Amino acid sequence: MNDVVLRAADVRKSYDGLEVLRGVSIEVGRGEVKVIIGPSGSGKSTLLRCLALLEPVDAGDVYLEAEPLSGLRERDLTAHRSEIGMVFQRFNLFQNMTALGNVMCGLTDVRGLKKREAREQALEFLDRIGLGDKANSYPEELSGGQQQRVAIARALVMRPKAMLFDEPTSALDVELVREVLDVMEGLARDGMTMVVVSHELRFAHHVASSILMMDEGQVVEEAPPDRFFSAPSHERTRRFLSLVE
Amino acid sequence: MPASFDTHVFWEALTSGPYWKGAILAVELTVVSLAAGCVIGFFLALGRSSRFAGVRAFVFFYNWIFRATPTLLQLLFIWNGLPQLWPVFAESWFKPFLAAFIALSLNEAAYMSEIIRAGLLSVDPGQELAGRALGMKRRSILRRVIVPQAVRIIIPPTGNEFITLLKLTSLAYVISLHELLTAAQIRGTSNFLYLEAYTAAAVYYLVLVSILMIVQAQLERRFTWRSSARRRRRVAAPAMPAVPHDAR
Amino acid sequence: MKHWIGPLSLLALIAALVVVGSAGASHLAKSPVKGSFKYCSDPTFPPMESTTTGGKPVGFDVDMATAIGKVWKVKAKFVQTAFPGLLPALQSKRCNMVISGIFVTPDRVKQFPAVTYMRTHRALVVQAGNPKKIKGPNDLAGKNVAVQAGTKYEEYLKGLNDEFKSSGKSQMNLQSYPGDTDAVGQILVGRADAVLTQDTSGAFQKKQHPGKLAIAYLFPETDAFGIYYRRSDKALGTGLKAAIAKLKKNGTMKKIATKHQIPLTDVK
Repeated sequence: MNDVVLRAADVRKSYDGLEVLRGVSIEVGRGEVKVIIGPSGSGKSTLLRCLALLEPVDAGDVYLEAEPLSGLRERDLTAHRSEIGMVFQRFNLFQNMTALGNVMCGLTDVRGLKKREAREQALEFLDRIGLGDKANSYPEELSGGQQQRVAIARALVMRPKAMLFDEPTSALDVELVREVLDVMEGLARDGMTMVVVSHELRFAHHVASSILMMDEGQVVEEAPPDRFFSAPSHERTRRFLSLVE
Repeated sequence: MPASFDTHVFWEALTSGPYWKGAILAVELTVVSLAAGCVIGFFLALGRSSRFAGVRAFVFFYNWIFRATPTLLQLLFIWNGLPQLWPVFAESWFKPFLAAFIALSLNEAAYMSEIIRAGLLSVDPGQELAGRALGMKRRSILRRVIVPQAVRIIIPPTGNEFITLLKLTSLAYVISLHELLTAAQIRGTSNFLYLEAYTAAAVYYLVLVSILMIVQAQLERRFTWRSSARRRRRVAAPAMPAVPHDAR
Repeated sequence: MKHWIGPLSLLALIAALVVVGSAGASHLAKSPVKGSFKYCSDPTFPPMESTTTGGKPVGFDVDMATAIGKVWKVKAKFVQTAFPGLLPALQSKRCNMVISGIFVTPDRVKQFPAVTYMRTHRALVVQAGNPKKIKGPNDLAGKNVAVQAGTKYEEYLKGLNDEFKSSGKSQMNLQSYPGDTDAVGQILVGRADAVLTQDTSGAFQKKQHPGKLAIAYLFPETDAFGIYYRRSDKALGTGLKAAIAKLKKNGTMKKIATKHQIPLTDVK
């Protein structure tokens, strides 16, 4: 069994008295791609944000390479966040910077690289996802698919230990979904440790090491793709799959 | 009285020393007071969302007091009221310009804090989220992402504040600071030719505000994030909730 | 024949009385106006004119106008007008005359004639006890001086400052305020060492703030307060001159001056 990169152990979280995560545990080994599916309100996005260290947990713990992170001070948490890449449903590119500027930002402001070096690396990553010619365009001028790819490059350039994706294609027009999924599949092939919340079941089937079903703040089932889709063991899983397929 | 307008008198007023000096003084006072008001207002705006209840309360009361009391009252308070508490303020080092600067800055800060707060609020929360996800420190996120985007929203109402402040400087005549409007009043009462005296002053104000409008337009263009090819088309800044503007 | 003497004597008596009466009538100031007259005034210059907290106009000029009205047996009506608008109001016939503690100056008299009724001195008002030892205008060098803006007082002080500069003395720190009272207020606040104003105003302020102010110096030259009227109103001018003379003679002016603590020599 390869080493565990990211782990959540019995995590609980409430918002305004409403319990959103009720004891969730998940383990992601190096190079694994875990896809989380489930109805809205099941706590998928919340779990992802907790794994990204963007939200504190009320109980349980989050581990990055076996180091418990829940009790850390903000100062130390900030450093660890840069080791976990996060891609959002609405891209969240910095509107006041070009694509190049967006990708450079983390390198200069977090890693402390000099501008020239940062620019070189950023351009390289932009090329890798096929957007080298859009380096000087602003987010307003890019299509949704292009923006999301820049967002992926922005996270990737930090050379994170894991990449988290929160419904990365849900806000895209149908014809733009493919280009983003292609990039993600490429990452998976290259051995990136990934956790993806998504409705793209074909992508999940193709790329995931295992698929998790979440409902009402708990993990209902986890299984490798073949078994998950052909013979789900839980009633709720079956019901959800029949709704979406 | 026959309707008349003595162009010669008008021109004399327009080019006279007191008018010119008064206009320069008004602009100086406006610029420094607005600058200080923006800086203080920025920290007040941040303080509104501080995690310490004491800071939030302080900001609330500060804004409350400075927006509720007339600017004239604040000027007189600082000039005539302070010496009653601390005689050191009656000494000659405490010049009228300094007193006016303090009063107008503190006053302006209250209004700017609301404008800046609205500007900061208008920035999509996803921006800060993305910054945090990258591992950026809050200060970095503010400086590199949030403030530049907020500034774009803040520019138009701040232009308004500049204009208001420019006209408010004329209040300082009650604390013996003579600027453009005072020069016009004095000239009008000395020769009873009001129309010419006041028209000349109006011309100055029109010119000053026009210069501001040009500067503002340039600033707004700088904060439009499109590559230069597209910049030629005019871009309107996105609408923001109206900040209450009282005639004070 | 004898019973004609009675009626004849009566006739003679009546005739004599009429003659005497009409002769005396020419000494009685005949009113140049019918029923009432209006005078424009700016009640922001105590003790000449100001308003009570209730808004009623009071002051030397108000009392004098009423006294003139009594001489002519007519009513005096106060028309409140801002100082800069006084002479324009006279021009546009909103009032018959201007009585507002306003100086008689050559450029004003060019447009409207004036009847002098009081001569006053300029005065330097200081803190009680005169701590800065100001004995005359030259002692103002290097001091903090307050004055009402836009007045001849301010003009004079600016000229004085230029003199100080050219003769190597340190200049005054001169500050000018909208009202005369505002300028005097700066002495009370502790900022100004001296205020240049009229002795009438100085006397009034002294009364208002007992023990806090003093008059340090009276300028020897006098300025005349005058009643302005329209050049075309010749009868009014004659009537005013006569009325003022009468009021001075019968001591009314002195009485009014005493009431407002104005030096009697001013209304000689």
